[in-house]
Amino acid sequence: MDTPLILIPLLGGVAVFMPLLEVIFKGEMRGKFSSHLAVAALLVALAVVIYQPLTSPLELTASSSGLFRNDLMGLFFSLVVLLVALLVATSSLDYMKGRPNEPIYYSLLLFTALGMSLLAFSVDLIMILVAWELMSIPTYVLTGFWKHDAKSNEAALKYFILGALSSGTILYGISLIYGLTGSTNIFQILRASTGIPDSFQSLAILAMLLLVAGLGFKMSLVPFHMWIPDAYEGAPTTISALLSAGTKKAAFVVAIRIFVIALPVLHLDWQLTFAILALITMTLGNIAALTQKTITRLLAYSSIAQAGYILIGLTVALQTELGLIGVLFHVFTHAVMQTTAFLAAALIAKKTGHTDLDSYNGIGARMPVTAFTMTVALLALAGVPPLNGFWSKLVLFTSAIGGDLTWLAVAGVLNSAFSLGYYAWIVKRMYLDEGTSTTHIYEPKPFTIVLMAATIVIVATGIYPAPIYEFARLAVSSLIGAA
Amino acid sequence: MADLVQVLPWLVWVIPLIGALLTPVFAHINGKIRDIMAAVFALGGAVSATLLLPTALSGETIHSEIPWIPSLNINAGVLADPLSIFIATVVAWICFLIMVYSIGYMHGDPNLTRYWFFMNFFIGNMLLIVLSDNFLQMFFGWEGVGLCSYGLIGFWNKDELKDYVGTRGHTVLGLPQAYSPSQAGMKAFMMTRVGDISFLIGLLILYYYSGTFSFTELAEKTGWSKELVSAGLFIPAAILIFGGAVGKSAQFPLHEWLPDAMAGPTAVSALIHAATMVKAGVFLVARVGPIFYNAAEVTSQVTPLFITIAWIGVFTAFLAATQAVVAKEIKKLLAYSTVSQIGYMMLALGVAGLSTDFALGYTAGLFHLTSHAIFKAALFMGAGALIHATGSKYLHDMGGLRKHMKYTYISMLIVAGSLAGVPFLSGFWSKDAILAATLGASETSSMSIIYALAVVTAVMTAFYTFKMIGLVFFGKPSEHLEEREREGHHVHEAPKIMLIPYTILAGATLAIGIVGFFFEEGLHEMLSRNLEHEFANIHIVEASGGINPTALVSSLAAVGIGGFIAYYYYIARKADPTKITQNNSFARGLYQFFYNRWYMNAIYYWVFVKSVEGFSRITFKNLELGVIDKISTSVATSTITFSTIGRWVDINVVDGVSNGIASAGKVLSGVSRRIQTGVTEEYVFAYVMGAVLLILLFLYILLTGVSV
Amino acid sequence: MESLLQYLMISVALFAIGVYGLVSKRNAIRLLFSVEILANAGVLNLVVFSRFLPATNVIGQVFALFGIALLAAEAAVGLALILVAYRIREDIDVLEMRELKE
Repeated sequence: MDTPLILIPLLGGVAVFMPLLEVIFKGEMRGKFSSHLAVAALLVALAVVIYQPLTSPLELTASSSGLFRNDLMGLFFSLVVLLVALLVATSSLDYMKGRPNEPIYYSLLLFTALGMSLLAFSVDLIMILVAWELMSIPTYVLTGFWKHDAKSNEAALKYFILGALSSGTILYGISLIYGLTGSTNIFQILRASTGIPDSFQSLAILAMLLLVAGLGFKMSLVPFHMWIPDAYEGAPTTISALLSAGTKKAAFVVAIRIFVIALPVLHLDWQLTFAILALITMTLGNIAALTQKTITRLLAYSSIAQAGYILIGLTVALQTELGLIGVLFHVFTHAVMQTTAFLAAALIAKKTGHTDLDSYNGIGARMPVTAFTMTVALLALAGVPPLNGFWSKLVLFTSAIGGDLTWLAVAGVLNSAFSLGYYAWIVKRMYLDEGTSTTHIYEPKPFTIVLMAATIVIVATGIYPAPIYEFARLAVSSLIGAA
Repeated sequence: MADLVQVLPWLVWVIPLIGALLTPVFAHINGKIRDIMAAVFALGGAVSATLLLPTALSGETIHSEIPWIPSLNINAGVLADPLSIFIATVVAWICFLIMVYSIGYMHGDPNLTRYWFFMNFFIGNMLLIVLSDNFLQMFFGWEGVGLCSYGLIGFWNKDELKDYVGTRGHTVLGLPQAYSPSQAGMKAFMMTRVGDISFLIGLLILYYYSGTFSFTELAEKTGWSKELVSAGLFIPAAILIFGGAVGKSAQFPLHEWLPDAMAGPTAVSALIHAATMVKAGVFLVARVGPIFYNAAEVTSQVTPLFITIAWIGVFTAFLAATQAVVAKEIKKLLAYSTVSQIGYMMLALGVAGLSTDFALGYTAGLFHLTSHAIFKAALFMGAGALIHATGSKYLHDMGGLRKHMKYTYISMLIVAGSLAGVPFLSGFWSKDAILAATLGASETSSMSIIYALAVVTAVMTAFYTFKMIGLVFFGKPSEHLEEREREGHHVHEAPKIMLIPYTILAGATLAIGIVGFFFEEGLHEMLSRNLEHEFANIHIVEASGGINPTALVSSLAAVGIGGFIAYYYYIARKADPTKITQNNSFARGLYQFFYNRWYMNAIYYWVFVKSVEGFSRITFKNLELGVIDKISTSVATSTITFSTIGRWVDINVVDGVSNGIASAGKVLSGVSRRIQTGVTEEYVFAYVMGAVLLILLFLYILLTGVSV
Repeated sequence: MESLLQYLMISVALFAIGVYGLVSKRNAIRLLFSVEILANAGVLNLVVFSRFLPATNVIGQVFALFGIALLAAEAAVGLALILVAYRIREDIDVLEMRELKE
């Protein structure tokens, strides 16, 4: 079964068809039909993705087109990003209800979902670029979806300009790689790259650095992170969830495919560079998060810090298998926790009209489900056992010791402990501080279902992490083996 | 039946956890059922633990494992060996008694659902620490008890003035020394967390080199120590793990949180901050000490670890005792005393690894853990009853209470005597055993200093214990009490539901004291057999017990001297102790020094709280907003020439001649505006500069060949 | 006779112009131009490499076509965002857009 080739017509077809609904239906039906259609399409897509690892987990089917590689690595990442998209779409049932242009919103959401999952399978630079843009361009529009809101538009423009810059950087890097090797397929590049003369090594380095800068933009590595707090704050909060938990993860799969395969061949010693980037990213993210006054910016910086943890795994990917497993594991856990936190924030923002932390005082009594799920998600982000965030960090930090970077593991543990400060602070506000009002706030079904489901995933994979860990382990071996 | 025994160690900690989760459910039925069920679930844990005792007495071990993450060799499991069964039983029963006591003590509080949830959740996690068979699961419980401790210290989150701990208005180095419950909770949480971090890092290192978290595997296959030693991480890893114990058990330098943790309800102080959680650190050392001792290729490799443990233990014991001597609040006095007594236990576990007979100090430490858990829990519960009865937490607000609260008086006298080390009470035997073990240590010349410190601490212990008894129960009623009397509040004995738990514990103290010598022998027998059984490299010298005359004389002298001074000033009241500090400036200075906690608390606050707060704010301002702004600005400045040329090209070539007339002034203003870069441009700048820095960094690493 | 180096210098120049424009301009439309110029440097590279690599390597040209199409899509979205910005603020000076900041 060729998963990517099934996903293209499935998600793409629905997405293309969706804007027509704007014409076919009138009034409320537009939104109702398009939103449910989008959720259904994502559910089917998720089923397609899960089907293969459940039936024949170790069978590798090279995709007929040569642009994709239908391996467990791709399945793992598309599982994560589709899950995020599904959670976002479901909660949008309520969040977007009654807003203009609903079908367009869902259409763009599906395009992004398609882009992300194709990116997970791509092994050809052309395909990577196409999927990258397919993922990015709709998110520019989605970020600026509140057409009459200056903040939303400003966020979108900033995101767009920086995003276009990063795409241009990636394209330039790719063009150099093509020039050096004469190919765009990652595996052919691999074979050809041994023949690169020494005098061209510097060009290869430049190409790789351009790719780091371009991908680092989406991965939210410091110093390519400047747009993130602004974009997350201005965008509809559901879209912030998508950006932080979805598109960012898709950037990591590209990084894994390109760097892990290409770097050893180019004989580049990247470890220290990446280690320093990881250190700066997590430290700056955590310190900045501590001083934020709105929840969206706080979660944005927290998301940056988490990218730093993930980068630890990428740093030691060549020394120990645990590194990449840790990356995948944390990509999964972080996607779930960050989506939960952002969606809970979205609901609170929608209901109270505020995103500043002061409005979280006393929310625990007013919105019990939201506050509870938010608490679990925040504790998981902080890495409190036995929630899932603890396990993935455990693997990442252990891998750092395995890569002889004990100082990086120490820095990670310290950062993680430090981060509990601001996460716990929100929990304290929600439960212990008294707010201005005590009236109960209605919590709509789509949100509560999504939040509870995600919370169950957080707790369940925390108590019994073995299945996800095994999946990640097999996915990593599928990447390295049978190249 | 055999199957049931396999399941029992799981039940011990799972039952209270289930009880915690069910608390909201029972609360929906009604308040009374919720209160009773909370105690019932705690009882369930205690009974399960007791059913394991026959196994422990027959010297058997139950080890049951289920796979958790098989490919990482991580398993969930329980290890019920004599050590863990013994500690679990003691802990579980004390927990149950305190739960019963809480029903009376917390009666009428509006947030009891939260209270019972945290209490049972705590009990479950505490028993999980004791019974888990690997470090990771232990760490889970470790974090769990930390969270509960935070939630329960800050239980009275309204921060009413009466719930503050410390004297309001008293400042040290410009910092107020009174803490609200929420502040105290946060302080405890953060400070123990420092230990937790150290513990976790140590664990990760140990795990990476040994490939397992399991106690039994670490004990059986000792090959990992070789790799750790060659990586130079053997002692560092051990000390990092020990750091966790230092934080949890409030040992120097992380001891400052415990006295302020007294802002919580007294039942919480009795449970968490006297009898159980603070002992988790001692238990951890009891687990980890033998493992490292056993794994070392030669004993001298591991000596630094045990010297560290012993020194930290004895120094903490001394440090906290000096503060207890001058304490004014009854709970704070008991808290300092707890820190001090745990120091003794650490000392015992430390000297275990320094003498030829490992079991001697090991048994002494665990014996003291047990006797202390029992009598200190009783002391706290008694203190809670006193606070209830007198409406004050200050010692000088009490007095002459022995007539009104006869049962409390008798119970407190017994358990206090045990703390002071009065012969034929449990504390006497266990303290004597520690002193004997210290004398038995063969290593290092500094042992005599450690021994001297331990004896001096014993003198102080006797002194402050009887000082407390004297101030509370003897003399005349204080003005405070007389005033209450006039207001119509008569001092009366505590209600039965509170009284019975601590009289039971007082009875246990007495009972253990009477059979003390044989109890010690039995414990020694059981634990040493277990040590020999589990660890190949630990050999037990048979019949090592017996009475060491030097230790016996010193401990008798200590209780005699300390007790006499306290008797003279506080019980018989032959002289006014306040005159000493009034007339002697040295004594006054010393008093201030001790009362201000050797200034450590204030210094910590300045160094770690104030400065970090400032640092984080400044870092954000300067790094995120400032430096990157400045980078962009300075880049802008340095490219002024370039950009002026560019602008000139724009103006003259691109935009045509018509715009080219623009004056030089206009150009300059354009440039100056550009120095104040716009936001988006800033971001682009940062991006580009980031890429450039990355290239430079990489080239630097490449060219200089720096390797990690 | 044209050489690879000449073309590469042009592409580097384009890239540099793009970066310079992004850094120094404040008009959103100009920023959009700059981004386009920058990205087209990459496209030019692809075509040039395709021409100078050993025979029958057309992947580069195919890739260039893809690149041009993607750039067009990107530009369209960017232009739309700028239009919206103009409608909201009647101004497209990116310096004036600093509502989202601390």
